[in-house]
Amino acid sequence: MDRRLSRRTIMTGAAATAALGMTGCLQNPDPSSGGGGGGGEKYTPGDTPGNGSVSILGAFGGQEQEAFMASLEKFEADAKITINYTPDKDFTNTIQQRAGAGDAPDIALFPQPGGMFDLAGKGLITPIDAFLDYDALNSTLIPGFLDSARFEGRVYGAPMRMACKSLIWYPKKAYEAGGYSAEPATMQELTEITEQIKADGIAPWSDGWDDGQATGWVGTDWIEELMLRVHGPVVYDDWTKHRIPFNAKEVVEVFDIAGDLLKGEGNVLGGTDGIINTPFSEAPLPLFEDPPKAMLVRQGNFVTGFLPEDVQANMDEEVGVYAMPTWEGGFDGQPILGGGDLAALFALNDDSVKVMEFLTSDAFGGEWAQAGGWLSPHRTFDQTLYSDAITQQVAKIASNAQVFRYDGSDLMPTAVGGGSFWTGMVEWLQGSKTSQEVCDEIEAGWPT
Amino acid sequence: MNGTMKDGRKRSLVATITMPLLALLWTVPTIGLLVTSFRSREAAASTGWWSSLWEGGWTFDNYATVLGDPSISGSLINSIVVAVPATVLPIMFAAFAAYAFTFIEFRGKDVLFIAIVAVMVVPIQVSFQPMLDLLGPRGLGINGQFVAVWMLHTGFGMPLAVYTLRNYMSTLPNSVVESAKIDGASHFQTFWRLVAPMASPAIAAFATLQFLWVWNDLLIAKLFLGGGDNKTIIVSLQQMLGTQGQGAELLTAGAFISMVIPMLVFFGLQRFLVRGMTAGSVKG
Repeated sequence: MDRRLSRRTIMTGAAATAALGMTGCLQNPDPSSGGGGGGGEKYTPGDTPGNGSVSILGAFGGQEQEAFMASLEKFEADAKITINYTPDKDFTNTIQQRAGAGDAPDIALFPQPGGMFDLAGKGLITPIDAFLDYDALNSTLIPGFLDSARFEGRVYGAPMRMACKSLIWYPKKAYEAGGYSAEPATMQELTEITEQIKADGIAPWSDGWDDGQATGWVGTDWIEELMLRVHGPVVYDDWTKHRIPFNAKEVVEVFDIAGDLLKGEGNVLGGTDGIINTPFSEAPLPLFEDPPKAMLVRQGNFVTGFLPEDVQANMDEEVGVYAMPTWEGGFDGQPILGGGDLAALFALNDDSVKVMEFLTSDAFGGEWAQAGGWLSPHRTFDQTLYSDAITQQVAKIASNAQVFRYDGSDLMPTAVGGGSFWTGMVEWLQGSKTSQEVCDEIEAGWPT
Repeated sequence: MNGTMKDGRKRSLVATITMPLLALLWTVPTIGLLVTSFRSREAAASTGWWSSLWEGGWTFDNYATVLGDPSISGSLINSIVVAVPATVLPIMFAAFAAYAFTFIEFRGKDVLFIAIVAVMVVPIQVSFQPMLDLLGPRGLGINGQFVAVWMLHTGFGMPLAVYTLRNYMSTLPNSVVESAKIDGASHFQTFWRLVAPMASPAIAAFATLQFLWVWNDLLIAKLFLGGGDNKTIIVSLQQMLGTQGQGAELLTAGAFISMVIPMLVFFGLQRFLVRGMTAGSVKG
């Protein structure tokens, strides 16, 4: 009796929390209504003059850094602000340590919202509605983006780069020579195509999950993609926010569907061992061998940077792409799974606000788009600036999506989304655990 | 090759074959890295480095790109600026301390020595947050300057240095120090004229280890020196990676470029080093 009562109390509590969470999403982010910690009133230019230089900490270096700096050059000259960008491969830990010691950069570019929420909870980040025009920003962004940066009712970061994950890549020449359709309307039609490819003696899919300590994230993307397609965005949100348990029957069902595709005999090049042992960046290479060893790769837009150099030089003729189609009998609209780098402000002054305004606007990124490998999160971004037709096509796929959802594992607590979910996927793929066992285990390890 | 060594003992056939084999085996990963650093990203991804002889895919591009990066030469110099004082300072202080622990009688000597040895077990990561507070804008405000990392490396290098040098010094003949005392030498003279030269193998050994540790350090350099103008070569190298690890092929080339200076240090100190390797292992 006692026990039943307590369970009921918990359920009511959970429902109440869920309801609260929902109102949080709908709440008007007007600063005067006082949603949560962090800054406070609306910032008016002139309150705190800047010193002419703004420091930015981000996670990307190398060529991406060069392209990023190039797209800021003109702005720096016009606004007379010097931007000091520091890349750090270990951004997630560095930002926590530096912000914790009072040595935060003026602006940080978070690759995942999780770490940003931690610091927002400590009151170190200024919510964007205090200094940006929230409604104007929201109207040009791909819908759903700002919600992924919402913490306790207020939005703490604005996207400056988008990753679009729901993409299926193929080697254009060989694919067209084989006579396969490049416009599957549903996943079921795609399965028919893969059967054709198999009948021609080629492995339909190539996939790679290996990424050192982060091995398994590619697997979580598969589950998220199918979750979004089979059960739709409402159940997807319930799942990532843990309003339904991780071992709910919907989730287990999706694991089984993914299993049919990935573990099916002859479906993936090299079988499950091949998937585990191939670095994600090397998955597309077999597509461009002569003759191709596989025909399809599902991976985000960033994979183009890992294609062979001669293919990269001739993208539009060598590479084809289409959106991962919908699930027949599942959610009707075309969903897109993605991610983005969120710019968050630590030091509020005239200069840093100007930089934030530029970074998060649709005017930012022309030079980066030319250099390649970058997508604007704005629907209003001038798509002719992208260097090749493929990227333009990807941008169109992303901006035409009926539903955009942020990568679920980035939204879950780190212990799951950067831990048990990854390792669970590997165990599941190797077959040492069934779908039900893996889901039960992840649910049991969910931090309370 | 004749059958006996210089001292007249017989050569062992097993050892003659096993040792070069082991040495080769030990070097295989480094050779693999070296070969990979001369291969293109695709070639390295599609075939193993051992097959490069017949598969091809050779290129100098990785080295050209790394050396073409304008920040590389600056960060090489920064690394030297960090590593030299961060090696000299702890050794100097530790040698003084080790001398005191070995040859001077004072109250609480053993307790103090045990305390120093005990702090060796404190992992460096534990102290990062308090040290960031102390050196950062809330404390001294020297974070990002060279002096901050010098202090840290000195502090963290000292316990092991004191321990190693004291153990080595205690194997030196006490009579030498006593006779110097009788001759009227001050502690200062005894240290510089007698103990320091006699302890040079141990000092050289520790200097090499400390130099390598400081040179290859990423954590301290990144947190306390930052990725700005003062960054070290190791920090520069990790900054060459993109979001999904693009540019990983440059790291192999960068690793070899950053290896050159520690190699020079090692070969420079090797003369002293071989004797120093046994420092502290035999205690009289």
